[in-house]
Amino acid sequence: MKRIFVVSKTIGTFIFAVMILSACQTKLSQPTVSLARQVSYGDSKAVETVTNEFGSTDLQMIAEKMVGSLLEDPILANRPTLTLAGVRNKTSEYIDTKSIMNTIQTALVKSRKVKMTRSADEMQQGVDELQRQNQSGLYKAQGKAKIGNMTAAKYSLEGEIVSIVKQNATTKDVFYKMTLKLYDIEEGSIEWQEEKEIRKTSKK
Amino acid sequence: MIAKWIATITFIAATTSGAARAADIPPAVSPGIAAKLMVRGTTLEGVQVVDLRSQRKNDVMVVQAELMNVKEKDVRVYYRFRWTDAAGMQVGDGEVWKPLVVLGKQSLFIRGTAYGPQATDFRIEMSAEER
Repeated sequence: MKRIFVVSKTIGTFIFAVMILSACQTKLSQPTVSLARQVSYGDSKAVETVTNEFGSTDLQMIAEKMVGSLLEDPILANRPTLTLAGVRNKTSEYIDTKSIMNTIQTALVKSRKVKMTRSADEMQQGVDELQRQNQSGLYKAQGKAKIGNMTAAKYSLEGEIVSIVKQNATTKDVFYKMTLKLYDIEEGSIEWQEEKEIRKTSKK
Repeated sequence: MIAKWIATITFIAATTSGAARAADIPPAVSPGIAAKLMVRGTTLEGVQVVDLRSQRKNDVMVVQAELMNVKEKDVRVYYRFRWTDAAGMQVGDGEVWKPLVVLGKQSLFIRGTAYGPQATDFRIEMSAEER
């Protein structure tokens, strides 16, 4: 009887050791520096509904609508030159409108349907580099960028974003509308225009 | 006996009323349309793609799909277009998922434009939940 007890105790210890070892095998560390999993990466293209303020999904949806509409339009048939002008933020929130325009510009440049020129914001850096190459005396003539050869934009993209906020004790409704216009710079005429509307409703 | 009759009549009414369950409604009305869809799960909670057409505008592919909610319950659909070139490689970085509420018995158009002339084919990725 005593011998049976000892054998079963040994088997029990063995099973316990195997279980611990197998448990250790399943707990491989992942290539992260975070110990606690309080932060995780998500899908940057997922629909974000954390709050009803202006968010990443709104930015991406606006950019997609504007780019799609512009690419379809025959005004881009001959690969014209465009520049970005400002987007007025008429909402009650802080919105980085430059970020919306950068997303639009990225898609347009990658489509190879337009040539984007420096915007007014980006001009000083270009001027500085031209002056460095031409006036510093450091560079040989061959390959030097010449002053006076910049291509002027034929069209400029301008726009505005507005919002209407309504709320009662239980519900908050926000309506965003972004309008984008393509102006012929020489003529001052609007050659293309598009709007994107977004409605977001949340319960308090 | 009466209870048995009532149960039988209820069963027959439920099975012959034409009120198909959402799980029985396929996401596309034809195999040709279904081939262009990538549905997460097997159904779209009663929403069907009933029409799908594409054309090139200004040398860029434009796709329009018509969604129909066959059921009376509202459904929230998430969708995005995936564009590929002639070699089957993805064009662009991938679109954002777009939410869309389709009310009961409502029909809606969705529309997508490719990122550029290099896109020659597309698929529509879709997911749905009851609102």
